[in-house]
Amino acid sequence: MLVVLGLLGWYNLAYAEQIAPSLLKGLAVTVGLVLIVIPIGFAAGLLVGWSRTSRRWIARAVASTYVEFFRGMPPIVLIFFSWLIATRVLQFYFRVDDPFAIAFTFGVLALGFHSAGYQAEIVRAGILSVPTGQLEAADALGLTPRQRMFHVILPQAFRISLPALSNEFASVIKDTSLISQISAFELTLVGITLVNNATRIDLNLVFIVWAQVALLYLLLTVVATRILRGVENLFKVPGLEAAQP
Amino acid sequence: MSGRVPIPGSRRITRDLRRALRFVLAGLREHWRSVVGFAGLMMFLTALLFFLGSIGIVRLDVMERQWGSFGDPAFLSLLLSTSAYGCGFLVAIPLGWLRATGSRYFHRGRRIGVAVPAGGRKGLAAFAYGGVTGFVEVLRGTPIFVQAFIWFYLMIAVAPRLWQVFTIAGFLTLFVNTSAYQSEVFRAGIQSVGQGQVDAARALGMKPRQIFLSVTLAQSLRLVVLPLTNEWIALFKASSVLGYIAVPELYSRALDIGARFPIEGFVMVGLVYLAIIVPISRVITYVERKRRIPGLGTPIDIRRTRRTARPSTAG
Amino acid sequence: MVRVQGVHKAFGDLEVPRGVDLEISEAEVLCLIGPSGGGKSTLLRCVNLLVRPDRGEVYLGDVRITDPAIRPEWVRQQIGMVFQSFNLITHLTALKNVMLGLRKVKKVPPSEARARAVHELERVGLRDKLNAYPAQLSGGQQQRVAIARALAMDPKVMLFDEPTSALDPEYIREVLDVMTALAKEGMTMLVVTHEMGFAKNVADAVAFMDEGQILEIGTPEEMFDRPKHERIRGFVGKILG
Repeated sequence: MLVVLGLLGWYNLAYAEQIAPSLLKGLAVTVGLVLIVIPIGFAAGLLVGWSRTSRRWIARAVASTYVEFFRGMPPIVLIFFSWLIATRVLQFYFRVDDPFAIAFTFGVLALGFHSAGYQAEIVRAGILSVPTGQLEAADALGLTPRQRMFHVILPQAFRISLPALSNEFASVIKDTSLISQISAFELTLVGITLVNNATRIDLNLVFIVWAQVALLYLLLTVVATRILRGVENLFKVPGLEAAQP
Repeated sequence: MSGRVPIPGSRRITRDLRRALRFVLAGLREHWRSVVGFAGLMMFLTALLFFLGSIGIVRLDVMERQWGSFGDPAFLSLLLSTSAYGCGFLVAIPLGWLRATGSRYFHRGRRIGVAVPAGGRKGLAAFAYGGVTGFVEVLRGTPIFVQAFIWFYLMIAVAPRLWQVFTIAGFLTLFVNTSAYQSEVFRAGIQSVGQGQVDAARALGMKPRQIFLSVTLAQSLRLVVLPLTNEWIALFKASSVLGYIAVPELYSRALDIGARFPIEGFVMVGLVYLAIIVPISRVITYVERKRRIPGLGTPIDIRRTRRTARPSTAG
Repeated sequence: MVRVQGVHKAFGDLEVPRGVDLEISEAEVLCLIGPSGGGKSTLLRCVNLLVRPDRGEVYLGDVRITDPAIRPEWVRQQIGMVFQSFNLITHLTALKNVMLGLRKVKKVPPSEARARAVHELERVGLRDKLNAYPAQLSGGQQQRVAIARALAMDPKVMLFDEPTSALDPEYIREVLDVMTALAKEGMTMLVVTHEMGFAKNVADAVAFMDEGQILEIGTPEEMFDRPKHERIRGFVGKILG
């Protein structure tokens, strides 16, 4: 399949070379964004997902609300909205300087929390899929609930959730394109800028730009998935694959 | 058991309606807590809104005036999403089938649960498989945002004077994108049908097409429903980016109103999205739990999956 | 050693066990038999507080363990349990599984825990499977690891919940052998089982439980050859006949 992709971008090599550096810079920014958003999402998602399985009603309710809220809206709305809050409200009321950095941070946070909504569900499913028999055994040995959570539930939940989590990470990579709208110079915004310039020269160049952008995103996604598949292998328990029904 | 009492003399439609109503009411009664919770949340949000309004951050008068203008764009969003979804659905089934079967030529020895007609179409099939796979990988590996721009410029280059050219570009974005995702769902569904059942059908003497329709498709239907419903929701949310390519849909209202009243605009748009999506996903969760479709396991909402939910993964 | 008094537990509408009294002396082996759903597993779980009885008391030695002031973890340190579905922790090797209780609950230092774990695994005959993962072991082997895991805690009492019911016939023997050896060494055991042969040969007492109540309790000879209740006769006949 990668063969198919390689065909793109051969149209006008000179131009492609010209725009390459800016594209790569954009790619770097995107990668940076991804590396920030994913941990935020994971941390929050872990917390919320665990709360969803809590015995306490209030924890469950709050967590469920969180999940519904952050998954009930398109990420762009969240990103933009938090950016607005940051620029208008904070600037207005707190006279913070360098509004750009603050606004940008808020946008990233928004995306992180949005992703956390999905990761929470994944985490929750992982937790629920640990066979209850093992929980009983852990109890029977005398493990406290906290010990049980750490040593029995979480390792297995994590291992089981890895495929779903890698999907989610791919989604995050793609959603970072939206941060272009709050003026972060990641890959998509670079693309847009280049395109605006290109239209003045020759409309067809536009497609080269987009082809390159698409190629880079694809590369990013494929690499990320490969890495995660490697992680999956790391956590594999020998013999378990064959034993699973 | 919910009412299976035959109602003699009524017309069929009334009976079905009544059954549907009873189903809904039973659901409400059973889940009164979540309904109350939802109402409570709405009240809380409204209270919050009024509070913010009173201290001047949010201007409620503006919001009141603008509510009316939400009807058409929201409708357009829903229309676009649903029609693209529907078309994508139709296209995705053959695509998914192709991906499921063609892989035999690509990855030898892998077991698939579909009866492929014997006979060497190796060259063509491999090519088709490669093409479809490349297509699907590209569409799922790139952001919708970028895809929207591509279609936008494509349409401009090809037919700039077309009526509603941007909306068509938007439709194409959604359509092509969802075809790719849905084809993956179908592929996984088709491949999950055990080889044993197909063998049994072949032993009975059924023709390949018959096998596909009655055995494979029918079985995969159950596994496929959950990811597909999530896909619709995802598509609806994705339609928001179309606002950036001049499609007058829901999100663009936020941008329009947002030019002058940014916070109010986005709050309203957010609320509209919530109001549409949350009830729908709750209904989906409820129906899925009630029907307890075996094989779907725990209700994981796997967002636009790369590898679609394999039923055995969790629980 | 273990005394159960008037224990009730209800799950929704279902109330089993219902007003059960039972007493097990030290080094005694008591087998609990009876049809499924009779409440045997629940009763077992009341002893190590995996299930808290709604009514009634349970005593371990002189301690009233149903006292809410007592930490369940402390109780479970004294009581070992073996489950029908083995319940080994799948991402831990056999050795780690056995060490788990020692390390986490009893806070034994690693080297000591390891030595003890190896000893227990040898005791159940699995010295060559120390680093195997549960999924790589047969059912019989897994169950023996489970027994080793429970034994490593030096329990005063061992509970067995249908330990052989999930095993292929060829593996039942090895597990029963371990349990028999354990009984001979003087362990206090409460065993829920359908293996009548074991009950007959190894048990000091057999109790029949159905619909939440203990219908009769006596020596194996009394129960199998001259049961007082009709139902027991029918049940035993079906299993043995």
